Amino acid sequence: MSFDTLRTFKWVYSFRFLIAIQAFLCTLLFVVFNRWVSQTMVWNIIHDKIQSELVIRFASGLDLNPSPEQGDLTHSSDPSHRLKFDFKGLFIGQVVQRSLRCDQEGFASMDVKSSADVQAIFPRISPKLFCGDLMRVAGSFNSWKSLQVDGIKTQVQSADLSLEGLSWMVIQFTPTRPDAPVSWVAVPKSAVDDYVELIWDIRNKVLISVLPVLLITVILTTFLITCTVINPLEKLKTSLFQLETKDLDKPLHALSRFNEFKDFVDVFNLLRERLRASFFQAGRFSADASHELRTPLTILRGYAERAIADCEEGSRQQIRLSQMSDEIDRLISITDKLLLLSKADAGSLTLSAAQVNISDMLGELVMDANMFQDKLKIISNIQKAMYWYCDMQLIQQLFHNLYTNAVNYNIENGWIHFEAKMYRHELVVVFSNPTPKMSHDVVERAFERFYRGIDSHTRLIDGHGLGLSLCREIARVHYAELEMVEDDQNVVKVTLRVNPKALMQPNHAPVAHLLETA
Amino acid sequence: MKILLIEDELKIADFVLQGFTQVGFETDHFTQGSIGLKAALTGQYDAIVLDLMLPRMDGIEVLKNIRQSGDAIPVIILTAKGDLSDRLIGFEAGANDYLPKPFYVEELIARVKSLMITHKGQESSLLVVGELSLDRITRRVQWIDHAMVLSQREFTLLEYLMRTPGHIFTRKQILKHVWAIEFDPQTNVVDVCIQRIKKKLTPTSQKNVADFPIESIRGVGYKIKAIPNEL
Repeated sequence: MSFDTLRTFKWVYSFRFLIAIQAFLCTLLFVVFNRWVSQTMVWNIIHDKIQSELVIRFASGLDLNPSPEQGDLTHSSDPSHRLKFDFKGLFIGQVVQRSLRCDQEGFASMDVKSSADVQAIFPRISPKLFCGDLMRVAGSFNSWKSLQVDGIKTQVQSADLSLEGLSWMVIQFTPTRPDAPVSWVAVPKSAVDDYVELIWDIRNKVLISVLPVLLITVILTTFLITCTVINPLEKLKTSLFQLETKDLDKPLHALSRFNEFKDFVDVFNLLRERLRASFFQAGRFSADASHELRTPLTILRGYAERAIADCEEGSRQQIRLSQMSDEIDRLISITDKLLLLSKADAGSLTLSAAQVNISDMLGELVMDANMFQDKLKIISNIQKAMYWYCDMQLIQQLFHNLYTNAVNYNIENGWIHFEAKMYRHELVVVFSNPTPKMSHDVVERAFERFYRGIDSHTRLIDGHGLGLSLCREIARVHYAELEMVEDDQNVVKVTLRVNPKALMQPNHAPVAHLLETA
Repeated sequence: MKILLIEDELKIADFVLQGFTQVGFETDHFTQGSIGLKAALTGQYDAIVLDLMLPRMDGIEVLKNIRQSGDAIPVIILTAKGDLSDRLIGFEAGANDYLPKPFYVEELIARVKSLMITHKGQESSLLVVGELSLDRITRRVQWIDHAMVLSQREFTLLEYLMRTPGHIFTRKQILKHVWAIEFDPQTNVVDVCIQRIKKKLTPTSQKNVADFPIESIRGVGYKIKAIPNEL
C-alpha cells in the first residue's frame, strides 16, 4: 500500500487514532519490558530462595529429599512445619526433592534415601560416581560465593558447577570444627528452571486473562484523554469559525476547567485583542485617510472646475484641465471605495436593505451593455421576477463592477453572458466572458486589493484594482458568496450565490425569492 | 441674497466664495464655529453653509444653538463624513440639506437656491433653468412651448446638468453619474442621449436646436447654459 493510498484514509490522520495507537504501543512496550525485568528478578529471587531453603534444611537436619509422605507436614501440629509447606513452600519443595547431598565420606544422604530413589530421580546418574565427581570438582573450585543465612553458623558457600553433563547449583557446608567433614548439596539448575517455568506458566495465564481488560482500559483511557483534549479544541474551532471582525471585542470564555486551557484562552484573548487593535488601526487608517483626502480633493476639484470654466471653451487648455478633472474624479472614486472597504473590514458597513427586483436591475444593465458595447456580443438569460432583500446601491455597484471587469478583460469581438436564476432556493448570478490568456495567478489573486494583473497595465485598462475586492466585501456583508473561475477555453466565470437563509427580512421571508413565492 | 459661510478650510472657502460672488450671493465667511454662531444669531442672513469639523465649536453644536434660538434659517451642511449615520445626526440637529465633500460649487449654489425657494414656501418639483423646466415627479420636460416625457436615462442626464447650470461635465462624469459606468465604453452613447433630448424638445425648428441650453464643449463635455442672477 503506497503512502498516497494511505492518504485516502483520513482517519489515519486522526488525533484520536494516533493517541490510541501510541497508547497501545506504549502499553505493549511496558508489558514486554515488565516481563523481561520481572523474569530476571523472579529467577534471582527463586534461586536465592532455594539456596536458603537447602541451607536451612541441611542445617536443621531435615531430610533434603523427603518422600511425599514425609514431606506432607500440612497435618503436623507444629505451626512452624505448616509454614514451610504453604503455597510457596510446596513449589520449592519440589525443587529441593531433586537435590543430592554428599560429604567427604561418601553419600551422606544415602541413609535417608535409597539409591533406588536417587536413580528414579536421576536415572542417568550414579550417586556414588556423582559424589566422587562433586568432591573432586568442588575441591578444585575456588570461586565460591559466601551465603549468609540467618541462624546458621556453619560457613556456607555456593557455586554453579558442571557435573555429569549437567549444570548444578552446589552449596558447600564447611563446619567450624576442623575435623568435621565438608558437605555439599547439589541441585540441577534445570530443576530451578522448571520451577521458574512453572511460575511463568501461571503468570502467562494471568496475563492472558488480564490482557483484554488491559486493552479495554487503554482504549477507554485514550478516549477519555483525547476527549478531554479535543473538546476544548473543538469549542475553540467553533468559536474561531464564528468569529467575525465585529466580534473581535468579545472575549473567548473558558474552554475547560483545566489550568493549561485557561492559559491557552488567555493567550488567545490576547491575540484576539491585538488582532482587534490591528483591524481597528487598519480600518481607522483607511477611513481617516479617505476622510482627510476629501478636503484636498474638494479643493483640487473646485479649482479645476473653476479653471475649466475660466478657459476659452474648447481650447487645448480646457481639454487638458477636463482630463485632469477626470483623474481627480478617479481619485475620489478610489477614496470612496477605500472608505467602503475599511467599513467592511471594521464590520461597520451598514446595509439599507429593501426588497429589490434583481431581474429588473440586471435587465437594465443588459440594456446598457447592449447600448455601450457595439463590438461585444451581449447574451442574457435572466429569470423574471427575482427579488432579493438587499442594499440596492451596494448590489448595483457590485453588478456594475463585475460588468466593468467583463468589458475590460474581454477579447476583441468577444461576448458577455449574463445569467441569473433561482437554483434550489438559491439566487445564482453568473457573469462570464472570454478573456485574453492571463497569467495563472490572475484568477487566484483577482480579489486582492490593488491587484490588476500585468495585462491591465500594459493594455491601459481603466480601473484601480479595488473593484473585485469591493464586490467580495459587498457579497460578504450580504452573506453571499462570490467566486471566479477560468476554464480551459479562457472563459472567466464570476458567480454570485445568495444563500436564502443567510439574511432574513424583518418578516422572516426568504432573502431571495421569486415573485410568485413571495 | 446674503449667505453665511462657516468653513475652516480657507482654500475650500476661497472657491466657494468665488462661485457665490459670480452668481451674486453676498457672503460672509468665518473659520471658527463660535464666531460663526454669533454672526448667525444676528439674523441678517438668508442661508448658512456650515462645515461640520470646526475648531472650538463643531458644526453640530453651532446648528443646535441656532435651532435652540428659534431661528429656522436654511442650513446646508458640508462635510467629509457622508455616512448615513452622520447625515442623520446632521438632520436631527436641524440641517435642511447635506452635501458631502468633494462637491461641485455649482451644485452647492443650486442647492442653496433650491433651499431658498423651499424656505419661502415656493416648493416645487420643478427644476427651472431659463426657459427649460423639468418636473422631477412626472419626468416631464418643457422648453419654450414644447413638452415631452423623458426616459429614465434622459431624465437623469438632464437633471444632472440642470442641477448645476454653467458647470461643464466631462463625458466620464456623465457616464458615471447616469450609467454608473467607470470605464471608457469607446462609444458615443452620451452624445446620442444628448441628441435625443434635443430632438425630443426641438422636433421641428432648426433654429431652436441651436438655442437649446445644453451646450457641447468640444473635447471636454456638456453644460447647461447658466442664466445670470437667476433665482
